[in-house]
Amino acid sequence: MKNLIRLAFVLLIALSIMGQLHAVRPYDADREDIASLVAPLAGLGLKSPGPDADGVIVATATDCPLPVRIGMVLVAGGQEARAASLLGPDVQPRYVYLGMAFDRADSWRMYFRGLQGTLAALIGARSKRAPSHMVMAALPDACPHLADLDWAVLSPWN
Amino acid sequence: MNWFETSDVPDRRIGARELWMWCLVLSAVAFWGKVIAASDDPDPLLPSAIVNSITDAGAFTAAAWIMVMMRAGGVVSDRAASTRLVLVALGIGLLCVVPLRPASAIVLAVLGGTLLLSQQATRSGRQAGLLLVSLAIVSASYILVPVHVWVASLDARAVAWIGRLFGMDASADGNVVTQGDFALEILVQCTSTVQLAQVALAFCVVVVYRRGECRRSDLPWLLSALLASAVLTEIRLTLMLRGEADYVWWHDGAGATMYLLAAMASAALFPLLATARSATRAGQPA
Repeated sequence: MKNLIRLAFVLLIALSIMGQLHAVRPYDADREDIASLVAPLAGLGLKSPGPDADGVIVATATDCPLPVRIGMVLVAGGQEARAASLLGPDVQPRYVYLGMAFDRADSWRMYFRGLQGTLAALIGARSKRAPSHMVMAALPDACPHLADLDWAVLSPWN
Repeated sequence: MNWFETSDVPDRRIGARELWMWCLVLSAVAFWGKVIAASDDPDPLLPSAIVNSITDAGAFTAAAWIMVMMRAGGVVSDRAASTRLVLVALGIGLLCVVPLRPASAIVLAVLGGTLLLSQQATRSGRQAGLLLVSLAIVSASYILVPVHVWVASLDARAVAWIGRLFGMDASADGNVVTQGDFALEILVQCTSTVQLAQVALAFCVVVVYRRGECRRSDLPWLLSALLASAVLTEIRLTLMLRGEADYVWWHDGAGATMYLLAAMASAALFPLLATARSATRAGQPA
C-alpha cells in the first residue's frame, strides 16, 4: 500500500509535467492562422500573396493605391513593438477578436469576449478555445472607405 | 480530534510527513510547470527560456519555494498518515495535474491553509503554510484579470490627474491616457494592482526569514509596502506619458530596470523595518 501511494504520486508528477507541456502556447501566432486570413480578405475585396517571413500580410484593394498591413498580436499585450511596426504613420488601426472589430484595443470588451469564448469551448459549444492572438489591420488614412468594410470576418466565431 | 494522523509510527502505513513531502513536491512541479507554460518566449522549453521564466516569476517567488522545500521534510510530526490524509493528498495531487492556473492557486491555498490551521503542524510547517498561502495569493492575482482591467481605467484617471498637476494636457478615456499627440494604453500587466500580490509575498518571505512568523502588528507595514508599490507604478506611468522617448526609456530602457530595482527595494524595505522594530523591542528590558 505504501509503495502504491508512492507510485501514484510519481505518476501524478509525470502527468502534471505532460499536462504543462501540452498547455504551452506559442508567443508568435501560428503561421497557418495568419495564412487563413487570406481567404476572408479576398471576400472583402483585398488581394494578398500570403504572409511574409515576419508573419505580416500586405493586402491591396483595387480602389486604394496604398496597401493594408495585417498581422496578429497577443491579446494580453507584450508585443507592443510588433504592433507599432504594423501600424506606422497615417493609418487607422482595426483590432479584430472573436468576431468583433474595434477601433482601439479595448481590454474590457476583448477580455469578456475571450471569457465568453472560453466558456463556450468548456461547455462544448465551440470546438476550439479562445485564441490568444487578435488580428490587427492598419488601414491607410488615404482610403477612408476601407474602414466601412466588415473587418470582423477576419476573426473566427463571427 | 486528529483527522490526518494516527498514533502509529509509520511502518507499513505511509508517514504523514512523507505524504506532505510528496504533496509539496507535486505542487512545486505543477506551479513551475504553469509558470514555464505561460512564458512569452518563442520556444518556452529551451533551457535559456526556462531560466528566463523562473527569473520572470520573481526573486521572492523563487525564494519562497526554496524556503518551503527546505522545510518540507518536517512540516508535521512523524506519525502514520490516516486514510483521510491519504485521500486528501491524492485529491490535491489530482488537482495539481489540471493545467489551469486557478487549480494551482487552490492547491497552494489548501496546502498552506491546512498547515497554518493544523495543530499537528510544526513551527517549520506553519512557516511553510504562510509562504504557501502567499504563493496562492500570487497565483490567484494572475487570474483576477477583471479586477486589474478595472484598475487600469482607474490608473488612467489617476495618471491623467497627476499629469495635469504637473502642467500636462492629459485626459483619460477608459484605460487610455492621452497627452497631446501621445496616447498611453495601460494594459493589465502595467496596472498598479498587478504587483501587489508579489509585494505581499516579498513581505512574508523577508519576515519569515528574519523572524520566523508574521504578527498582527506587521499589518501597518504590509499596507505601507502595498501603498508604496501602487504609488511607484503611478509615478512610472506618469513619467511614460511625457512622450515617445520617455515611454521607451521607462518601458523598455534603463528606466524599466530602475523601476524594478526601486520596486524590489521598496518591497524588501518595509518587512525589514517591521522586523527591525520588533527585534529592537525584544532587546529592551522588561
